[in-house]
Amino acid sequence: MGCRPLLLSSVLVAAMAGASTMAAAHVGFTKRQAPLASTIDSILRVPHGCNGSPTLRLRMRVPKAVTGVRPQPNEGWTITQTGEGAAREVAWSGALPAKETGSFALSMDIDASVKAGEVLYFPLVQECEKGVSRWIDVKGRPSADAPDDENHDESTSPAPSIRFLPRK
Amino acid sequence: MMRWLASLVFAVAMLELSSAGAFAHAYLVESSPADGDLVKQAPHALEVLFNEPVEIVTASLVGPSGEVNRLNVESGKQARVRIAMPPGLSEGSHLVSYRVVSDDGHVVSGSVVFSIGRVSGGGQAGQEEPTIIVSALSPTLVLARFLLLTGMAFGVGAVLFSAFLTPVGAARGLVLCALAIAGVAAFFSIGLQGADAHGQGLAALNDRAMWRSGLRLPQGVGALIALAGLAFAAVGLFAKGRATRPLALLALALCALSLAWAGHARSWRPEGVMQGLAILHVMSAICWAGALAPLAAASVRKDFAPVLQRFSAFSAPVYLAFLASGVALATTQFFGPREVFATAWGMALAAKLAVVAIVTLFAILNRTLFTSAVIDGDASALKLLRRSIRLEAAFALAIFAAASLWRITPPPISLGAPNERAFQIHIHGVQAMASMTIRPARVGPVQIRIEPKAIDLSPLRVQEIDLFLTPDAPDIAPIQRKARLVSGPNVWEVEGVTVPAPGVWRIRVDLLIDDFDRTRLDAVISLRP
Repeated sequence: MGCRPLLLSSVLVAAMAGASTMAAAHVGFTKRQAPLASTIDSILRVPHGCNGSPTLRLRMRVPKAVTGVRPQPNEGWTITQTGEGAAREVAWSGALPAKETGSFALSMDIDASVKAGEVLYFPLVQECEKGVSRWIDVKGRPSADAPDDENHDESTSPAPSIRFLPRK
Repeated sequence: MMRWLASLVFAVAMLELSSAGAFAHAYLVESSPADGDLVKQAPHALEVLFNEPVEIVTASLVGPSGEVNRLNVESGKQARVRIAMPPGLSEGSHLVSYRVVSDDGHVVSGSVVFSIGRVSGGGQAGQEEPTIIVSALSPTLVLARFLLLTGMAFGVGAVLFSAFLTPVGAARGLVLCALAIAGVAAFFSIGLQGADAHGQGLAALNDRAMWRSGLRLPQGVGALIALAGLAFAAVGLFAKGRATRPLALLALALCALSLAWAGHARSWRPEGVMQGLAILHVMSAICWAGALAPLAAASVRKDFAPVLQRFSAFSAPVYLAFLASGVALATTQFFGPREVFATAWGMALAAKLAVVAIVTLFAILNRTLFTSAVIDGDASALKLLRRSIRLEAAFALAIFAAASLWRITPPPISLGAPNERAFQIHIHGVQAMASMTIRPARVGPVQIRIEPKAIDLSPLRVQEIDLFLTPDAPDIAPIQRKARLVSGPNVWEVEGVTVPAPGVWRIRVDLLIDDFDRTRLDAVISLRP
């Protein structure tokens, strides 16, 4: 009987821990803010599969203001780049168990027109063995419920984004 | 005593029959600004035209950011209601929610959405159907009505019986008690109706304004007439000699008038005829069913045979009048639309009518068979007669159960064909828009059809559609469904969504335009129960 409170509290702690990681459970860049520079290095973090199904492919749309993108090789993943202009995509094909976190590093050239305070969005489609998760909601699509920023922040599937800070 | 009560319950159930078809509720004909209008400047007032004169009780304004303001309303009964808008309305969509009392005393609510300068987020509700409110006070109102009708039938029926057939004698105390219960119920129903019309709870009975409002409602006036009728009945109970009969008849007439005044038949057409029928129906119901209880009580007396003889002589025409008026009211009011019987309300009605038919058959057969035998002094027939009254009482309970359900299950208010009763809205967004049809436009299982359109109204091909339904209350997760492409390039359907509660719902439609591009449309709708 003595172990029951312990069990209960550990379950509680586990539940709380689960709740606190919920916010970080989105696919996104490890650093959501970066000082302006002509080239930045970022790491895209994929914390889980699609509802318990392993990830097989990630497709990321590259914003116009990113003039060049160089994904770093990832063991076990094939990287392809397709399209031009607004339809530019980077795709990683491989396999990532549903419960494992994957990291994908990129070097990106940022256009000189990008100013401090600006946010760039990298809509991403996570294709899994079963199902698809679309991390594609961006801000600036006003709606009755969530004008501007709120739309992105409150979305359950926000697009990975980077907000630029003043140059160092 | 139980038999008396049971018979009374039956009587009450019969009275309830008179409120069978309630279709003539007020509805919005047009408004200015009209629902969905986009106006350049803030209007000074919203003018709403109803199909009949109504008394507006409350109005609220929900602003673009969700703030709610009570609006001042003018008292008085009119078809064209003017709701003054506060100065300095902000840009965006505004929802004016109103609550009016229609001619038949029902509270009807609805809303009009108009936008100043621009549409907030694109939500643009179409023509709203008025909603009958099942409020927090509904059960209390049902109880008050039950007590009023029970006491009225018991009391006034006994007074009539006493005046015309044989004095109730020692049972006077009980009869007076019934009249008092009815009186208390009638009195409190004034305040309750007022509070209900304002959307308040029981606590509001402390507020005098609720009582004043109640007196302006048909039910309030009806309650006053009932109180007068009950008072005459009480005087008639203790009066002696010739005065008893006119007093009992006056009480009967006033009670019948009170129910007809506040009942659904109030607004039925042709005017005068239907109301006359309703009064006749209630009067004959009180006479016939109200006499059952004292009759059962008198059956233990030695001089019962002559009493029964007199009763059967008068009960036949009274019952005929009761049945004929009921049939007349029912056939003209509710046998038209077959659709009625598909609703919970209609099914309760159908069940009740079936029981009424059985009881009627029962009563006719048994009374005609047993009455002569009892008069001839047959003891076993007397036993059977008592048993038959008991059985009728059991049926009456079933009837009454069905009847009380009605107060919670509002009757269908729109008589249009099923396909006209859908709810249509156009949701405008920045990147796209959608036509949406919700069928039927009420709470329960609905089918939702979505046709995505580009901003230039051309059909828009999308990859996926997700639908979210959220009640307009904080911290409630939305109902979420995926739509299915059903026909053509862009007609999508969501089937089997059940909307659990009436009122305001936020609808969100996510259109997946391509792999990386999702656009969101938002609207606010109001569904009736």
